[in-house]
Amino acid sequence: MSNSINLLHTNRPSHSPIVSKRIKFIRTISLGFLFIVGTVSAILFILTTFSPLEKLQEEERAILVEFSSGEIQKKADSYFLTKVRSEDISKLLSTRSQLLNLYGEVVVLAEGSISLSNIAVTKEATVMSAESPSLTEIQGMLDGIVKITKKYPAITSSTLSDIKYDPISGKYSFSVSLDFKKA
Amino acid sequence: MTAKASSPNFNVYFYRFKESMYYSIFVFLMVLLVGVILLIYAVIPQFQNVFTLNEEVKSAKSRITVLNNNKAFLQSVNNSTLKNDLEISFSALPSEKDFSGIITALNYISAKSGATLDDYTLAIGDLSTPTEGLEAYFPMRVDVVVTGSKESIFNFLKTSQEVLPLSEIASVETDFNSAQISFDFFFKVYKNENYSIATPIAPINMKGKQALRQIGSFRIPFSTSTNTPVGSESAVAGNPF
Repeated sequence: MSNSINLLHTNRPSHSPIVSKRIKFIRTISLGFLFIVGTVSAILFILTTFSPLEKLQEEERAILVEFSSGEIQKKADSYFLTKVRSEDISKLLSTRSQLLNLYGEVVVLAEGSISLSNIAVTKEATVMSAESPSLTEIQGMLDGIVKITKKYPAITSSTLSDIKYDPISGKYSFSVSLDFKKA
Repeated sequence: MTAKASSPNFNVYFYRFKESMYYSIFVFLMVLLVGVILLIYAVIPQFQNVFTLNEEVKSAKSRITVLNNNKAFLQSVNNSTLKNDLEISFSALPSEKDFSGIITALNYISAKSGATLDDYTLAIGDLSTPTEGLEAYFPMRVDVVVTGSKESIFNFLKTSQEVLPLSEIASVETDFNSAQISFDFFFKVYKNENYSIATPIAPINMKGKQALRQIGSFRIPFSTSTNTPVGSESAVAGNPF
């Protein structure tokens, strides 16, 4: 005979089917969620542990050491310097003033009986003095100057001035000035 | 005895709770809570860590690719061509006021053109090499007086644009027996930080190559080569005095 008396109900209370269904649902959700969290965590741990980062960093260090200690670094420096300078030189060559060309073209205009006595070419203006016994040739020179002004858009104005006739020498003297846009 | 049995204690409540439907609900909610805590404090930081690692891996791979490409590219560059190009580029656009180069150039121009170099003035300016405005060219004004025929003066001007160091004609004034000419000779200081091996080396562009080819013919024959120290811009830009 039993010595102890169980004061509680021995039969487990049976839940209604709806409650059982809800409990089953909660159980599935919670255990499923825990399983997913655990699995994802394990995958992430594996991904972190087997990351190739350290290997890559070692490889990078090795290459950098090779660069810094060898001829490659010197060659790289030389190449950089050459590259930067060559590109600047290219710009410089393309932006150098065109005074030589202008000077050459103006001087060539003094043909035949026209003689240039002096010419001053600067980045602001070109002034030249010339003389000739022939008005036709002076006209030809002026036509040439008009062509030059069309060729160089920087020329803003051209002026013919100081026209004089010397009866002793029989020559006309004159000055032509070309003004440039201010840079 | 009856009083003790009827008075509820903790065990009684526990067993009642355990047998009730709330026990199961409680246990599974606890499991869910543990899952949420793990998600917040373990999984999400791990996710962030993995993303950071991935970014670092990508970045390291990219840097290694750049370094390897740079190495391969530099190995493909011909040493003697590079040395020659470097010397030419330094002769053309020095890092300092290259007085000896300018005087050598003027004498060469005079000899080649047939115009006699009477006098020249070099506007030295500040003796120190500029450190500001590093993107700009620094012109050094040189005034010369030459005598000669109309042709020789023109040749002087023409030749001056075909020698190194590079210069620009600032002004010419001539009566066709003599001429007063002003040149601007250029030099440029470069920042040292530009030369990082970790950045991809782009080949010299077409304009740069053309410029090197063009100025290659501007070299003064038999002139002493410009000193072109490599690896230290400060050494390149050293003050001659």
